Amino acid sequence: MKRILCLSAAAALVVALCSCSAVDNGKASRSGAKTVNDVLNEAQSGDSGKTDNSEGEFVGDGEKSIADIKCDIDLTKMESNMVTATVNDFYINPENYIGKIIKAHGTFGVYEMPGRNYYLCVMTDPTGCCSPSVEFLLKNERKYPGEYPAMDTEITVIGEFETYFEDGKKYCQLKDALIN
Amino acid sequence: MSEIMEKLYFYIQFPMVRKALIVGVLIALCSSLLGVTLVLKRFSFIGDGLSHVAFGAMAVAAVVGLTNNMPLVLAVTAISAILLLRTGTNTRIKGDAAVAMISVGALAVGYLLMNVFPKSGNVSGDVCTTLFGSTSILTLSKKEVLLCIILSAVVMAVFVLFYNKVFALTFDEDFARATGTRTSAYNLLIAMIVAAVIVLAMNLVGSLLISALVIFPALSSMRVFKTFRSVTVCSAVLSVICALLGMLVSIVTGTPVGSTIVVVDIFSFLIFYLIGLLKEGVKK
Repeated sequence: MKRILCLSAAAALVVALCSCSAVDNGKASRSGAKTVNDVLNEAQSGDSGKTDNSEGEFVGDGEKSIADIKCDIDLTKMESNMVTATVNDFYINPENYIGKIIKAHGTFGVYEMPGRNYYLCVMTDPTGCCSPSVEFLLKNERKYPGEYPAMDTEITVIGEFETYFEDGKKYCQLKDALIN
Repeated sequence: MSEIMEKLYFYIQFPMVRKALIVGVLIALCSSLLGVTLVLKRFSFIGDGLSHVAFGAMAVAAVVGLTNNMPLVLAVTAISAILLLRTGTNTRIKGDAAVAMISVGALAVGYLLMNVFPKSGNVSGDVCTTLFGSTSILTLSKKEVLLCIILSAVVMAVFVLFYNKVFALTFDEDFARATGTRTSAYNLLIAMIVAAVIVLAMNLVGSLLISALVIFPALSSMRVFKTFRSVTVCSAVLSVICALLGMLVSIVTGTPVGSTIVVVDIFSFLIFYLIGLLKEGVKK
């Protein structure tokens, strides 16, 4: 009888714990999900004034700085553990993030491939051995390398999360991105 | 303090954090249940050996290209556990030598395979994640979470159902055999459970730190409590608290999950050691 009671208690514990995990995926990041264009249009007073400054920033004159742009998921305010886990979740459950505005801070990296370059914001994890990264596509096309930051320069990037297919595989990136 | 609580509240909203806490608690509970038996049977180091075997199996699964590597890893680890834990047979290589041999052999083969047939551009990252857990507990897929929950439930059910047999086998295997208990069958069962716990715990602390999860709660409890039941219960409670605390601290401070949990386990051992000393002092 005691064993049955113990087993029942264990089963109840497992069921109770499981029910916790079933709560609304992505709830944490669903507040006010405007598209990045809405936010950027609010932030920009006009593209005419958009110039790179001498320090290589891509936020043009008359725009709010990236720090002032509201985002749904701000990786810059998370601990490295959570950054790694969240970036990993971008790939596991991309459907939870499509259309969300995401901000990340890391170093600039690039994969130069024939026909296309892949621009990355590379972050570090607590053990220092894995480097989660987010790919981004700038709002306004620019020439590499001249108009991009130097490799390993610290950057903050903000953009709208989207997925795309290439060679039959699903990838994700931040489109319409701004960096500084 | 309120800042920490705010941070915790913020992070707890993430489904991956909730999943990690659930799986972490279940893994800690399972590993502590088996810990008492393994420590008393002088098999403390077997977790370490088996975790290296699991690492090797994981490397093979990666090379073969299995998307869900858990079944293969579980099978290989279970077979190794059976080979290592079988007692009373005429094995030529015995005890710690067999554990050491299988342990380093599997580790070397695993690392070699990962280097010769790399599945990603970041071999060192893959190895580091497998050995130290990194943030793997925070990056579990739904399937892995489900499998962890099922395995944990099975481990707990087996332990509760066969508590008396496990108790008998732990303290006096010869007596248990003499009284008609099928010791080899129950040893096999224990080996299977140990393998399941090892595979589960790899997600939480990585393969190099699994032993800590198995032995620290049991050793801490033994400083204060003296009966098998009280040590097992205390060990389970302590293990869950340490795992929870370790995970929360690591999430808030950004430290590696596995090593943070083990550090909390070390602190708990020191506290229980002092309590044990005080208890003995009072008795004298």
